[in-house]
Amino acid sequence: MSQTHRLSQGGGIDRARELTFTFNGRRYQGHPGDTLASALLANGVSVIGRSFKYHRPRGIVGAGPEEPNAIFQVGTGATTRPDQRATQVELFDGLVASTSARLGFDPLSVNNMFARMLPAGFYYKTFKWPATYWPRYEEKIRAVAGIGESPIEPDADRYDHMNAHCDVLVVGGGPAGLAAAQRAASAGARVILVDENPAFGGSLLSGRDAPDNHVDGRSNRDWIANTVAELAAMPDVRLLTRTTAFGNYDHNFIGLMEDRGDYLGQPAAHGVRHRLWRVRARQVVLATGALERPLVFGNNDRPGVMTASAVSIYINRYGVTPGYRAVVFTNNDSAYGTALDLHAAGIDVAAVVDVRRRPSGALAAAVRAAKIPIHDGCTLIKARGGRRVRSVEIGRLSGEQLTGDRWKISCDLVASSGGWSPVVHLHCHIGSKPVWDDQAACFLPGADNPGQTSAGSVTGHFNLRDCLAQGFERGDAAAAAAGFEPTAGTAPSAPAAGETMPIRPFWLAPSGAPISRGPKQFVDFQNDTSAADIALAVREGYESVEHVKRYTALGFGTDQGKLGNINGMAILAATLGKSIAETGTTTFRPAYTPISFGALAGRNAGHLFDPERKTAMHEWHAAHGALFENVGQWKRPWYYPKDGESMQESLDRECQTTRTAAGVLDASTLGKIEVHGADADRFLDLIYTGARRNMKTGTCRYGLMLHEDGMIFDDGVTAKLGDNHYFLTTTTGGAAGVMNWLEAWHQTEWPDMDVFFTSITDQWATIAVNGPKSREVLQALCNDIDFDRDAFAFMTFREGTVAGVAARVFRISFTGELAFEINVDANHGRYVWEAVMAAGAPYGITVYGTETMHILRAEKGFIVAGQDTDGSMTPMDMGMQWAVGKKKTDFIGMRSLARPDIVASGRKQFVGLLPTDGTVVLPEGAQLVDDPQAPLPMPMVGHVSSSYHSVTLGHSFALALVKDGQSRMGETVYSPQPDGSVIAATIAGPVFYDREGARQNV
Amino acid sequence: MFQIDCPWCGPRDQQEFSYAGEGGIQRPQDPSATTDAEWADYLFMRRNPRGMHHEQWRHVHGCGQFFQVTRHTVTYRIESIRRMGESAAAGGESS
Amino acid sequence: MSEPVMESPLIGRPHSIQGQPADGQSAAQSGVSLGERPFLGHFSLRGKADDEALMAACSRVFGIALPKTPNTWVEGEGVVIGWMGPTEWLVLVAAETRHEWLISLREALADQHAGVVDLSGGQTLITLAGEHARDVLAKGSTLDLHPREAQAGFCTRSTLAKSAIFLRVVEAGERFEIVVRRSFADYLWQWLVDASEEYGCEILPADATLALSASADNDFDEAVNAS
Ligand SMILES: [Zn+2]
Repeated sequence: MSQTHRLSQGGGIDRARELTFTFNGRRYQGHPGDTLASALLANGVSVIGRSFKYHRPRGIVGAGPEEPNAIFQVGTGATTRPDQRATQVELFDGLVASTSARLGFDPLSVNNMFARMLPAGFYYKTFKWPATYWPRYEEKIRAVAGIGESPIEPDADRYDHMNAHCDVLVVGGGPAGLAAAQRAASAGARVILVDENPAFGGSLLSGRDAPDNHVDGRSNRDWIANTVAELAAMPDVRLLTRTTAFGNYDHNFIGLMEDRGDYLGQPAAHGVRHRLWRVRARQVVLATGALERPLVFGNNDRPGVMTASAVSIYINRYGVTPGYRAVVFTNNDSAYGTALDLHAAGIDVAAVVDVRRRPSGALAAAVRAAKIPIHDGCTLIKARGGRRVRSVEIGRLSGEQLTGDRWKISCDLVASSGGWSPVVHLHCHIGSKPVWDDQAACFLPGADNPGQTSAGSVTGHFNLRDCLAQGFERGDAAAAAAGFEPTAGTAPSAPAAGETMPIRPFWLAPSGAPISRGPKQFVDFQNDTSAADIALAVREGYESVEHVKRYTALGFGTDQGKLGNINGMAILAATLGKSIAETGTTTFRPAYTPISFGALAGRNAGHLFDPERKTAMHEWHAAHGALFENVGQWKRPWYYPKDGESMQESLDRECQTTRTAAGVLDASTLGKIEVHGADADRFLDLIYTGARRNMKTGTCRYGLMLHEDGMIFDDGVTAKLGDNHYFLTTTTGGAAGVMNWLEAWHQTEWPDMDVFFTSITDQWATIAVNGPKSREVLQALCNDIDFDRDAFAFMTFREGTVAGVAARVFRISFTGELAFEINVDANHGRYVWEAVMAAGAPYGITVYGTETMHILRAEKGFIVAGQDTDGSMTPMDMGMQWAVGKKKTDFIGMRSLARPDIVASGRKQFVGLLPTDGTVVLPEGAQLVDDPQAPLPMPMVGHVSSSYHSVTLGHSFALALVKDGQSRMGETVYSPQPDGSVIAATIAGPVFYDREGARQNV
Repeated sequence: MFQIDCPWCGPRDQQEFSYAGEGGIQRPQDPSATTDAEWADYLFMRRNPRGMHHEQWRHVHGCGQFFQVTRHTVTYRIESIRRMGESAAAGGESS
Repeated sequence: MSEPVMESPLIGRPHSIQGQPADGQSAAQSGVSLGERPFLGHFSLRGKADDEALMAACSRVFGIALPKTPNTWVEGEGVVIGWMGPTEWLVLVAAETRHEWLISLREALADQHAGVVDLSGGQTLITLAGEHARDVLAKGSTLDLHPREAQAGFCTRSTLAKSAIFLRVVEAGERFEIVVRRSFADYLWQWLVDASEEYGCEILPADATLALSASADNDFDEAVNAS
């Protein structure tokens, strides 16, 4: 019998089945229904790790999301998960867990001996200077910090996202949440009910089964089962367990993470491990409950010191007792319930220590009746024991001070309660501040957020009857606000609560010694932040709770201070001599509990990470050995290496063949927009720098678009299809932006113009045939277009039939060669492409990719908007005055071209560069200087925008932007390289090949 | 993530929309007649208020329409939404 | 010269052409069915809804009025027309009638302030149906497609996963059509197959007919496809 702390009866576990699990290399047994924490406690495991800074032994403190210590690594290999709260990890057969390596061993326990040297801000103070050492310090600190390991193998599991809409989202499936969901659903609303636990019921799951907490005369479990069954039977109700509402975002948008695999060990076949729900709710009911705070006293971190509610949960829900001789320490009534739970389970309760004098409530009376000694008006001063609490020291209080009267009680369990903190996190995520309530000694949600309300103990109602009534009422109200008439009915009823006695706020037990010298009184276990640290921060001048948080690390852990923050803030307020309301809380931000990267990524991973846009000829390219380049989301052929070719050899071949015979490029990715409407001329005249209205039908014109600041943002060719009817091309990456640009000006500035824009990028497959033999290739495929030089002039287009397919053929050139661009319905794209390749075969036609396209266009000094321009170049900077209509009175950006800083000298201008050593290719993006010997930081005079080796020229060349470059022809600039070398280059004009432009006019 | 009530399509998730800058900025009738200072004011200066902001959005993955939104930049509450050309009187407060 | 061959943008996914039963299950158990209707006629019709002459001309050529209510589609004789925006409609026709429709549309609207842009090569149509069709869409769409909110007759442009789409509800909650740009089709198809997997997904053979609710022919095609 290894489960030394398993009670002989009780709890919701399945005792008939046994599960085996491994913790820190040792095998243990538990039962279905256990959490990893309850199973460890059942096996009597008290020390589960060591603390992060002082390496003190630590045990399990809580039973839910607030657990600060039992943060484990679960699983192995590709699916190992760090930062798992053992209190929320469901046990399954074969589970493997371990204390994070960094918390499990002892080499740093030496820190404990030097504890007084490791006060708040220690790292800031010690590792600050000299600044250049920081990276080395950081490396050491990071090695010590962090409490988990990421898997190093690819994640084999799937994750997904699910968008959901509902009328009423209820967060929290405790009594209030169940009542709210039941009401809203019965009114006909679409309801989503979520709970982070494996089962609905909340606090009812861990209550004793006694008539004083029955609902509608049924036992807790009966009422839960009945209500859940009723909800499940309704078609528009979605019930999500093991699902955490981790974030509350604007306009009633709530993020949920559902575990669909962790609890099983592995997700089901074809299933996902985690699902991220993105819920848009008309109304939200936050029934998130409350978490118990511990009391702060000396050595309160000893294993065996737990929250009282956690002790009750382990007894009632899991049939486990965390100890055999307990002391209950409290400042309020609820812990008396724990004393009774322990007593009912046959556990010896050595004492209830209550800081209040003469506790008078009904629960206290019951404890007295059970003959459990009550030490009223007393405090625990400190716990004793090393790896487990062995005894506690108790002292009598006079006000906040000790009278000097002290005694000791031996025990192996301390259950402490400092009161309850409503889980206001979600309420506060969208900017609302919580409000301190002196009566209840807790922060409550402030005014409701629009479309949201709260119900149950999160509102400060801590008895069952009130929670049920409030849930019922808020469920009705939420449904009504979403437009649903409530049905008749009455709230589920529970017996009236007995007499109660108010809580006595009690934030820090006196130790009789100065705070810095007494035993450590921990506030935040995960970060080893003690009350003395907070006091020190105040002594050093910190006043804002946000600053103290960062200085002391209070609330910085994976638990986000769920257990300790309120205690810390209260201690800070007391030290500052302020009220808690004045001091306030730190900011509550998502996520409430950690969520996985997998859930965030969802299906946007691997081959679905981002769309891969493909042209109609994609499969041909792939079959012909193309290597692809990403251009925006497009996959474009980069180059087509033949067997044994280096990249440069491929490019040389593609360039040479195109310049001497013919080459084909898939240009389908260019953006294409059809523009029509009675005002199309007028509109495009305002959009382009050049004139459009005097174009003749059947002609093409190159155009620049500027932003209103005068800077080039896109370029392309405009073809006039007919009166007020145009076909525009844009850059591959600029298509969507240009479309938006046109719509924006039309809709917001000139709505009265009659003009329509339709994106036709995908409609046309574009096959660019370049080179001196391109005419022959086209002639072989087409007999209804006259390709004669004069009949089909440069910068015009014709409509006809290419390879039997209706086509629009443009005589335009991006290589400087004779060239034709064939546009066909993309369904026929591959068919026509193959026909072009076949027709070109007798001429030795080559296919070429984007890299050759770049070399060929750069040899001609043709810019690529977005590569040679970066949003800070005007047409004049680029030497493209010719593209600006001289007679135009207005176009977008025109006025800016006359701004003083646009016409001033010293602007970067577009030039060519010839490296002195023609075998060296300047890196694109390289900075240029006039004097490579100048002291640092060197004055920079420009940068390289495009750079290649040219087989045609026989040497390397580049395009660059150089200050006043157009008046510096023949001068030398230098580019210092990261390896210390310097590349010298001469400034030249940007056109390197066929300066007269003769080749495209043959 | 906002929910924006497109004046044509009704409430849709923010991801169908694109933000299109401050609203109500009129391009000068005759830009060439503006001084450098006037032009710079039109080009660069925006209000960026802490509070109510008049702005434009586009239902780019929907009906494609631009429209006017009055939104509080602290609470993110959307106070009113109007089609282009509709005056504030029809749909909410004006500044 | 041989007859020109057309290729759907899903050419890289052979199962989209032949069809494929759900993985390890009979078709009857599949929660989702997916299929392509390639090569349909897709036209963008641009004009103003308050242009009465245009509306009248459209009614004549389509035999039914253009839908003016945002986000609705109507069905005429061999044609489906969806509202895309206040000045834009998507016209869908069967593959073999594409050219006749284009000619008659351009003729009918020649004197109008309107334009017809052929998008047939630039987009394709994917059908998604079944008990879990709505769940599949919910994985990538923020639209509320609950039958209460999106009835048959609803249509809209939107996004699905990371692609822009046009969605048409053929049967509330059960049967949807997704029009996607050609270059995104391969991505979206793979995404749909992946997102459908957990429900059991049957892939129907490609079918170049238009789904019309009233057409007996269509019912016949469905019966053939199902067998
Ligand atoms: Zn819209």
